Amino acid sequence: MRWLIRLYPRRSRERYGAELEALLEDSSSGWRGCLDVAVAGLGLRLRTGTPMLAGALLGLGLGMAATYWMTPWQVTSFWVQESGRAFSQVEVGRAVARGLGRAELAKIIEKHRLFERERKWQPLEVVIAQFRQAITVDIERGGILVRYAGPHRNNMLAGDLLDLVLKQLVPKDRRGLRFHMRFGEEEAVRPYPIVLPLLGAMLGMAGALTSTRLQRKIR
Amino acid sequence: MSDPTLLVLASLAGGDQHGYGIMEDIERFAGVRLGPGTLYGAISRLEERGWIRAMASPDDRRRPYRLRAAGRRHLQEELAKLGKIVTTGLERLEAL
Repeated sequence: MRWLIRLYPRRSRERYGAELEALLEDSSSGWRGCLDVAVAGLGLRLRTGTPMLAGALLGLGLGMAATYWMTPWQVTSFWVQESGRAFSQVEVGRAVARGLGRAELAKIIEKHRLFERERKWQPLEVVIAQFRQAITVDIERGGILVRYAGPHRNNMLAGDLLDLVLKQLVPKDRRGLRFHMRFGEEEAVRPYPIVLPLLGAMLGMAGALTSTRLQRKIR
Repeated sequence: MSDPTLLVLASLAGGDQHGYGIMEDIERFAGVRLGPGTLYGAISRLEERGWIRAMASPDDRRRPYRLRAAGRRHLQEELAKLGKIVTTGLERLEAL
């Protein structure tokens, strides 16, 4: 918690730092308490100490928080099914076009409760298009590899997608085919694009500069 | 009434208290949980204006605060204003 107190200007830190630290320990306020202390400390710096630095830090923090909130985890779930028969790229392409149509994808979205937040403010067609973009189907060593790269940590989802493709590829007679499957996850990342935090820092500095100039004019 | 400085003054009107005590007291009587930064922001403003003062304490990390005469006067004035707003609002609601 000590680093949070460092966000305060030195005078306030010397006067209230120890008490603030004790209060943070006593109240066990969690992340809300930490955020409150950070905002109050930076706000005080904006008014009294080093407004440009405080503005930049505040903007950077807000930009990072916005990026964090707007960019979900990206997990790639995959499912490979080796069937003992080599499928051609054309065959797979057709199976994907038929098997992963609008209605099928809508059913999967419903079944796995995907994109619940997006569905509140976007038409289903847009959500389906987003979903489709996150799916890739390839051939791997004679098997079918389905990858789903999105915010949902869900291997069954890739399995269901593969099932829809397989139903098209081998609709009836599956005898003589030895299915072998494996599934897993790759790359769980939450990307931090730099644009929003940098923009936030610049806006914060500009805001601090304007506010200092205005204060001088008023005086 | 959600102005933190007024809430702190109202809390100290009940007697000397340190930061955590003030926070808990405000939550009890006003239903508002002030964050530590907000609370100490209010305390520093009140101290600067001479409305409260920190008392000596063996524990420097938990110093109690006391309402000063000027603080009491300010609180009385503000509560009187709020009282007027509340009375007027209630009267008008009844007349609806």
